[in-house]
Formats: sequence, structure tokens, C-alpha cells
Amino acid sequence: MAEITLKSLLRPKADGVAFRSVLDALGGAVAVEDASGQLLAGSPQESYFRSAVRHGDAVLGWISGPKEAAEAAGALLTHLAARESERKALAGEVLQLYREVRLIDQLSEELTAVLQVPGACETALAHARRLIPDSAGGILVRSRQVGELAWAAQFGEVSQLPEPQSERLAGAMERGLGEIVNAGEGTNTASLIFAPLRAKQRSVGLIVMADGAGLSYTAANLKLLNTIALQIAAAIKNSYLCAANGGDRAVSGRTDDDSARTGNGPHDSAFDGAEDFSAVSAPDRFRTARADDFGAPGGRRFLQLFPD
Amino acid sequence: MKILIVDDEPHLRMLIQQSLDDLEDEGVELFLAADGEQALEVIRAEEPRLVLLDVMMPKKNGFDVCATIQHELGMTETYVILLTAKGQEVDRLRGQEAGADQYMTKPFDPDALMAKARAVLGI
Repeated sequence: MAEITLKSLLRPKADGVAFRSVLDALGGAVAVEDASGQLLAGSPQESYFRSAVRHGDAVLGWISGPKEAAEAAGALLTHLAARESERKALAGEVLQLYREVRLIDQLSEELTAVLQVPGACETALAHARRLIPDSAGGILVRSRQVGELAWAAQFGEVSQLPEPQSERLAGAMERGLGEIVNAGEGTNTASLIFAPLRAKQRSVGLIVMADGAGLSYTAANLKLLNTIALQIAAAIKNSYLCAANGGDRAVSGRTDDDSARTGNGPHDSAFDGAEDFSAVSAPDRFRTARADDFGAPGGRRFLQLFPD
Repeated sequence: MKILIVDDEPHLRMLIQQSLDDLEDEGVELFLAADGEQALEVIRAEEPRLVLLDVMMPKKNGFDVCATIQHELGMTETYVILLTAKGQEVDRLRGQEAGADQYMTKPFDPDALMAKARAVLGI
């Protein structure tokens, strides 16, 4: 945010114009100087009195001239500086909210076009990173068969991320509540923030972000992450529903070749790693679905995560 | 270097101003206007390098202001970006005819706006 200076307050905007009118009314009896002594308005004065213009602890400049006039002008500029500071703070908050609304709007729109869980997770992480500071992050999704969390997408210094089976994450999943654990709390070296992916009152995974640079996450960060988590959960639910209708391999991205390579069947171990899901484009995945996939036996298993 | 922000919605003026706030530290002056006529007054007096111009405004709309800048005032060096709501893309052609250099849709991307302003001002 740009600093408040006397020069900026005296610019020909509403406040600056009004203040210059006051100076004119004082008949040029006072002069305005910035903190370095540069004359900004009025005429140089045989300074027998100087009144400081303050903003917080900082002195922005000086008004020199007759005592009463200098004090009045100084008080006015001090007031205008405080008001400008409040305006900037408020505008900064409004801009942040605007960015968040825009992010959710864009994320919702993009997620409607992504039918694979890893693709949806990568899209969501890319958006989350725009507004939440981080050095690492990822999305964990609960395996359909064994119920354990596994990474569906990750980025950055992944060593800063907690183990998927850690008590901390298990607790968040169970409670359905996000959490902030900043660096220095307990044995934590990186700040962590995580939020459960909730669908139909159940947690199907978690979005986790970490910062190893000593930053402290805030409640505002958690609120945004919770909102993003809800979007991802809905996208995952849609993926599973799509799989139920059109073949779950299309959603998981696993091909027969993948199954042969890993030794797992096409419905096993849903999230072994993000790279498993990135090799085939969405249309290709759909083309690999067999006609009998439309009977969706695997789809029913997907749907077990979301019982009505 | 000067930038003029023109929008009849006070909150949008504030958002755009805040998006470009950091430029003030680099010596850029931001001016605001709430309608087309006020915008032309500021343009004549301050000759901004960049004008961010809402389309639908009282008194004089963005197309008319843009045409005045380019054709009547002959300020061809002034870079004009028209800002309008999504769904009004049919206005793009009209904006080009009026002499606008670029067209951005609302909700605008604050980062893209800042990047564009920097590019236009060469900073």
C-alpha cells in the first residue's frame, strides 16, 4: 500500500483542494513543508512557530507561521492524514474481498470443466496460491477402498507438508473443521493451514498449505481456504457422479496400461500420486471407457463416499 | 505520469484506485471522475497518459468521452481502456470505433490492470 505523505494529501483531489482553499483563506500566512524541509505549499515563513503534522508516530511534515494558524492547519492536515489512512485500509480490505469473490467465481467456472479429481485439485491449488501465501501445498483425498488419505495433487517443498496419516489431519477430518498451526507452535517448523473437503456432512479429503518462511496464517486465510475446500468437494462429488454414469476410469484417469504397470485393478487405490492422473487428456480418458463401464459397478463404489 | 479513473460507481472507483495504489509510490498521480463530463474536465486540465473509462455513465457515456479524447481533443497519445460488465461484449466494436485502445470486462482482474498500467506508462 502506498505510503501517506503530505505531498499526496495536497494533490488536487477533494481533500487537497479543500486544504489549499483554507491556506488561501489564511492569506498565505502559513507554509507547508515535508519532513525533509521541502516547501510544498504556501510561502516561506519567518518561522516563529512550527506545528507538526503527524500520522501515528511519524511526523509527515511541518506547518510554519503564526501560532494559531499553524496549529489549526497542522491539526487539519493531521486529521486528513488519519482519514486517508482509514480510507486506504478500508479500500485494501474491499479489494481483498473483491479478489476473493473473483477467485471463487473463476474457480467455480473452471471446476465445471474439469471431470478428473486430480485435475480439479490442481486447478483449485493454482487458484488458492494466488491469495494464500505458501511454499508448499496439496490436496489429500480419502481412498475409496481403505479409507486412508492419499495425495491427489501437491506442489512446492512437499517435505513441509504433514504426513497424510498424522493425528492432526485425522482430527481435522473427523471434526470437519479447518485449522491453523503456525510455525513455532509445538514442534512445527513451517506454518500450516488446512481445511476439510466436506460433502454431505462428510469429509472426503483435505486441502493443506504450508509456509516455511515464518509467515503466520490468519483467520481470513482459513475462511478463504474453507470456501475453496467446499468448491473442491463439490467438484470431487461431481467427478464420482460422472464416473457412475460414464465409467470411473474416465475420472480417475487410470488406463488399462496404468493398471498393468502398477498391478492394481482400475478401481484400486484411487490416489497413488498426481502423476498417475496427468498423462491422459480428458477426452482420451473418456474414449478408454468400455461400454460395460456404463453399468457403473465401480461407480457405485465411488458413490459410497456420498450416501444419500 | 497521470492516470484518470472514470466510473459512476463509487466502490468501483475505489477498487480501481486501490488496485493501482502502489503506483503512487513511483510518482504516478491518480485522478478520479464520476461521470463523462467530469472526466473531460480532468482530461483537459491534467492530460493523463492513461484513462480507465467505464462505458455506462450518466451525462456522457464512455464511448462519447473516448471519441472526444481521440477525435475532438486530438489526444492520440492518451491510452484509453474501456471497462464494462461481462455480457456487453457487443460494445467492443463500438469502443474500437470510438478510438479505445483496449477493452476490459468487469469484474476486472486487479493484477492484470496493474500490469497493463505499468506497460502503458513504461514503468
